[in-house]
Amino acid sequence: MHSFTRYLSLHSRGTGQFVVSISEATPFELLQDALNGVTDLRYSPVFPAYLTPGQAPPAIPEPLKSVAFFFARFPYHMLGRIKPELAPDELDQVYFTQGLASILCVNCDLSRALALRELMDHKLLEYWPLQDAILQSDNVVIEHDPRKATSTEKIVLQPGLGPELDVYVEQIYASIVTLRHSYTLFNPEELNTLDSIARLTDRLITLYCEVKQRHTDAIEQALNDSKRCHAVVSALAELSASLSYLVTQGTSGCSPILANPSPFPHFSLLGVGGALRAVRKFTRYLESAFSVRDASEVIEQGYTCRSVDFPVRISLYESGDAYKFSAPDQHVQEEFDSGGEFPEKDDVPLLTYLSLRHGFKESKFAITAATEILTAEVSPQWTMMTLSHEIMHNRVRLIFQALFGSGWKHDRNSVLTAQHFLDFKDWYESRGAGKQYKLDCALSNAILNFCCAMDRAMEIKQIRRSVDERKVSQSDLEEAYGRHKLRAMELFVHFHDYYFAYACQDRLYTTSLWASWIAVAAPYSRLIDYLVRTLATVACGTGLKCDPAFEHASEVLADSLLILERSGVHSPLFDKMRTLLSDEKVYAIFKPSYYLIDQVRRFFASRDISKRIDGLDKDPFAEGSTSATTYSANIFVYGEDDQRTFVSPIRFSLASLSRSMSGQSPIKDRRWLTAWNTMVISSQGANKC
Amino acid sequence: MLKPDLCSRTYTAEVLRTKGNAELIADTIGRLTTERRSPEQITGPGVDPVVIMHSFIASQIRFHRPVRAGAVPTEEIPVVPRTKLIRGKEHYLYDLLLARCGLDVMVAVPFHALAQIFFSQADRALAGKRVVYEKLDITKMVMQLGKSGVADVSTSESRRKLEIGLTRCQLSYSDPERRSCDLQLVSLSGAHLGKTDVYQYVVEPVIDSNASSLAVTPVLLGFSLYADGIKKTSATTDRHGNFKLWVGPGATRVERLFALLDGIETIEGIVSTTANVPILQSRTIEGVEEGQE
Repeated sequence: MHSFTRYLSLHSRGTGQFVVSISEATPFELLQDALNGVTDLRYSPVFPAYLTPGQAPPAIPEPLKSVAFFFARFPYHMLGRIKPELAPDELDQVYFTQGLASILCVNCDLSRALALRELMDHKLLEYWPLQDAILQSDNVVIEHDPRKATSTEKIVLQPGLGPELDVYVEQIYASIVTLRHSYTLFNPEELNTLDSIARLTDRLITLYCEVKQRHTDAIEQALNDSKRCHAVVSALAELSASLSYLVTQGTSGCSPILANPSPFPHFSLLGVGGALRAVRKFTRYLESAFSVRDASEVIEQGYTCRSVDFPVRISLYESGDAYKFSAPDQHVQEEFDSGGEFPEKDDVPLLTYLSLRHGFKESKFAITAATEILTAEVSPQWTMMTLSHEIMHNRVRLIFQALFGSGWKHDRNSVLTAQHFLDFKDWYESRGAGKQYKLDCALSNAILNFCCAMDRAMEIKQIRRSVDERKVSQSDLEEAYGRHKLRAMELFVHFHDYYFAYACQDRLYTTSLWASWIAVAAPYSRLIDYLVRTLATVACGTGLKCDPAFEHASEVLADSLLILERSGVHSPLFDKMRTLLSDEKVYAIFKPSYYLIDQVRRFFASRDISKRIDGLDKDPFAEGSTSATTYSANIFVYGEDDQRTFVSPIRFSLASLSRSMSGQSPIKDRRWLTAWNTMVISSQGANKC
Repeated sequence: MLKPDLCSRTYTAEVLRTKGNAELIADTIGRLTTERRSPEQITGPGVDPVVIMHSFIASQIRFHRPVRAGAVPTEEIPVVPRTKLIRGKEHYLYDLLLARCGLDVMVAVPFHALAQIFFSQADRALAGKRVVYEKLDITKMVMQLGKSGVADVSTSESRRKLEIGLTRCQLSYSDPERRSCDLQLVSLSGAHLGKTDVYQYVVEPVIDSNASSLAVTPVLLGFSLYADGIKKTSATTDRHGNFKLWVGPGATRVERLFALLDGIETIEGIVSTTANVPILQSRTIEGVEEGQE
């Protein structure tokens, strides 16, 4: 089995001299040599760009005479653009990387490098002439791109806010200054994000000052004000930390390369700017699809005007045609899509970066991707698709804020308002008498109903509860909501991920979920929770009654576990899950989960959004289908420059995941394939869908 | 007259366009082959001459199934495919048809699996010669041809009325709302699809995206060139620049393929080029057989 990954390394010899080499030795061998020789080492993986089907990778050019670094922003398309111009031996000398210097060509003379530079979308070129593989730092040639994007928005700073805020605010603005400079060269489409962050910072500061200046003697109000101030400070701290990550990860590896080492020791030479760009493009893609209909606006403007009869009694819940994906009446518009236009107005794009410590995680203003995606994205455990789940969390947070009114604008002390309780009580006690409720109210009631049912399901009783036992007080409701809110949110998130990103491909979704979950700790301690979420998600949209829905979902899960095991992914959790499928507690929790996710399906599915995510009309590899198995992109095909090939990052990642699970990847080098995936996704235009 | 051994098969083809010398391109590809025959030149009034070359790809891999042979192999009825000892090893010889016209070069081989190997080799051999591959935007083509499935492509130089008509259409269906696949694929073929009600019905969502809640995407398109209503040649293509055609005895249809492409080129915005080797994305078209009529 061939290794296609190469390592470009640099050892200092002092006095501005560096030994440069490309080798196919593993990084461990390079590191061992460096440790034995007590020398410094900077290195990054580089990947031969032009492979031939069924053939070994091109040989490493010997001797190494020069390295030309091209800082293309769309390397996938640039590889397609330069390919017809390259002679046979040159094809073997072109590599792509995961850094900002996204393409490099070895052993070409300066005039050839300058000619290739003219073909690139971004003209910055750094050229290392080598003498006996030695680079003299004075000899490095840098040709700049005369064009520079600029941000037109003027940011007015708010200084002198006091030590509590200044520590964060200064760091935020300092980061914005650094990033602005870097983005003008390497990520101009992100300048708007920086402007949004500056505006958000300004808003948070204003809010803080307003609350701080308010004087009240009422203890409750004072406590509440304090809580809000802490929340603002916490938000500023989060923004500040996220921007710092972006500075260290996103700007290193730029030209001059010798002066800009990366904080990632295993990418110390060229950095991870390209991979970071991929993670960001993936996030922006979904954000732009969702921006067509603002969920908060749909709820606050659209759902407050429509009434609906909602099922109350979960014990008798039967689903039905209204919840089916394949409903008999194909022409009925989804509830979420009807009732006018609700585009997002002032959204703040999520800051996206890599984190070894946090892994895949979401917070109010940021998304982190596990650092493992730099080296093992092609493995089911670390697929970029996991990012979609985190992005959905952000959307679901907005939905919950709209339903329960707990955003920045709201100023209240309790988790639920008295009105929430009264609405719920009235509806709950009606026991499904056919009374119509406003849709927003009905949805919050359904969530609260789920929370109460979950409380009961945790303690299965052999005899029916008495009338008194079934009554719910406001404090009971608040406690139940506090205990199960996260479970409810997870069901919302799972639906969004399953429906929008995975296009309801049940086995693919389930295998992807469990491949990633066995790599983290939580499912080991709360297995039933994770199992039930999976089952409810796969069952949603079937319209089946609870028993057959559970049976169907169990079959899908059993198949998926077998698929995982066949593709070499094993975990003791799998056997444990198989036994849990016959546990009555699992079924007891499944019922309310199925009930809730069905309501989510009915009121949050959106053709407008899913159509934009699928991008079937634009993506040339989709072949008119959302199926991951028919997607035709492969590692021998490059971006088509004339039309700036549009690749849906979602469909592309799903296809890659599907191939790696079925063992159909044309080569077996995981690092090469990982780098290819990030390079392709990093080359997608901003806001393409 | 050209006599391809496997003239009854559906050939897999690609059309290359060069910024430089088409003869050099054809010659470079020809060097990868053996038993090169003398090229034939076909000229006509008002059109670029078409030069067709017939040679053989020597392969140790067997792509054919039955072996056809006369009772006594003769010059006229050879064993098909022929074999040849190269460096002591027996190789099968498979037809390669290479035609050039203006800046375009067409390469065709009789087996899809052979094309998957040979076209990649040819691409490598052509590196640095600024070669790109022609492909058709078949969605746009369906839209431009409309429900009638016909376009008049006569030019001022044409002496006859030239028309392009659809003979094959494969549509992929997706439902972004229901996420279900009650209908996935519809495939139609016939002498003149535009004259049928069913074609007019199924292409409506392609022509007008508001006509259906389903996303309908053409993934294969077959078309013919008609001169004064008489079918002259036909081919099928996918979205990536792979072509399937029946060459027939004498390979006259190869020559006419250029006329067909010229005709299509008169419809605005249909033809584009790509640096990607089309055969590397040919799953959809792989099993397609072209008719001989």
